[in-house]
Amino acid sequence: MTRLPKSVGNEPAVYFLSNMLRPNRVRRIPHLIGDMGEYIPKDVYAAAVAADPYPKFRTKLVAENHATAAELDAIDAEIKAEIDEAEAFAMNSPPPDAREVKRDVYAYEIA
Amino acid sequence: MSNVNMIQSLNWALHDAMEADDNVILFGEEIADPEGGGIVKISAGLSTKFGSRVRSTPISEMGFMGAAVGAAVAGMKPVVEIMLMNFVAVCMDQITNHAAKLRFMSGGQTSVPMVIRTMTGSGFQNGGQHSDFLEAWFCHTPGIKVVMPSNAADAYGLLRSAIDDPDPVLFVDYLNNYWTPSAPPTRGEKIPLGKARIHGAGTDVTVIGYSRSMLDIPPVAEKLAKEGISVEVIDLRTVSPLDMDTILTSVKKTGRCVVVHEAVKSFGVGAEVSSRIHESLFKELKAPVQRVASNDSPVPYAPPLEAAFLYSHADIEAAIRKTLA
Repeated sequence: MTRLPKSVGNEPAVYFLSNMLRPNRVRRIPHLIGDMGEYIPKDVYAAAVAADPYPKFRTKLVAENHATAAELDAIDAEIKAEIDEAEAFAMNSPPPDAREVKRDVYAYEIA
Repeated sequence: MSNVNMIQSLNWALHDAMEADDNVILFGEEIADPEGGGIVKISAGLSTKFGSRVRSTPISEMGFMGAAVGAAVAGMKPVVEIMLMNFVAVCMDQITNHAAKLRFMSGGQTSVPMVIRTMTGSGFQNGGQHSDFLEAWFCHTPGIKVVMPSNAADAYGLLRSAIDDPDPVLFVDYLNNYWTPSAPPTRGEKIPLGKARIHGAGTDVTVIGYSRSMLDIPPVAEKLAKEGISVEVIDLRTVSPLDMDTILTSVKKTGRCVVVHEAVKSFGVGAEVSSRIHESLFKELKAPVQRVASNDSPVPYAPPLEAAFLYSHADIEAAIRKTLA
């Protein structure tokens, strides 16, 4: 939540978001990775893209002076850099040792 | 006729059951032809032939499992595909509290003749929430039967019987069997539920498997046969109810037994089989019954860990040798 705009009117950020971001949309990716989603009717997909709440919310934040486009771009860049760094770390790390299959099932070793 | 894989034999079983009985209907994600005929195409061609009796559902297992239970109570014979076995967790109430109990709770006045078909197995890097063998959850639930075929012919005959059965049946496929050809079924030939199959007769030790482990036990048995160790291999086919007649007859003869399954070891089917053998044949046993199963953890994603999670052929061999020591 630290990346949220600091001021969202007089309402606490969480309350504000619960009224603004309703998880009520068609997901734009297919059912699973590797599935090209050919079965999604083109008009349904086009309507889903048009109704995508993310760009709408971004436009609203800028229009209502909660953040500037540059500030939102900076947030996007920061998140992308964090993901890129995590991906690079994962891809460049050696495979885990087989003994790790016994680790982290519980907080404490039990046997 | 040449060998076929389980995708083909299950497709035939669904087709033949739908042709034989108009009450047989299919629910599941992406199972109708416009959506691809199923994730691995087990229902390919069926919606084209049988129309709205094949329903592609939303990604809402709780919803369509509940609809199937209702349809079964009303006299239909739904066959529901749960794409991967882990997803049964989101519709457990419909399966265990409703489908499995309605006959008992209504004093025998309600039948729920439905089949829940699903697929699973490690080795595909599908991760911890897409790979588990969860049959023990359902074996521990009175009122539902659990069928787990190991080859294409058994899959056909058992699915036909499961669809005919007046009670709910969970039917679990091992993913790799979809692409592993074996002898074809005889169309129309049903295999009774609750009957194990002697895969190979032997005299020294009984090794019991089902589903995936039936791909792993025979190679070990063949290796040991070259040393003069005679292994009797039993494929349970139906895990609940257990075919105790076949199991006890075999273990009474050999005096030794190993149970092998991919599901995690603790509190699993192997424990139940082992316990029942000890209860019945304690004095005849020449060694304690051994269990070979997977590590007690979620199925890992990383290949070295996924390999370490599963038992190995060496583990099966070691367990057999332990009973002979």
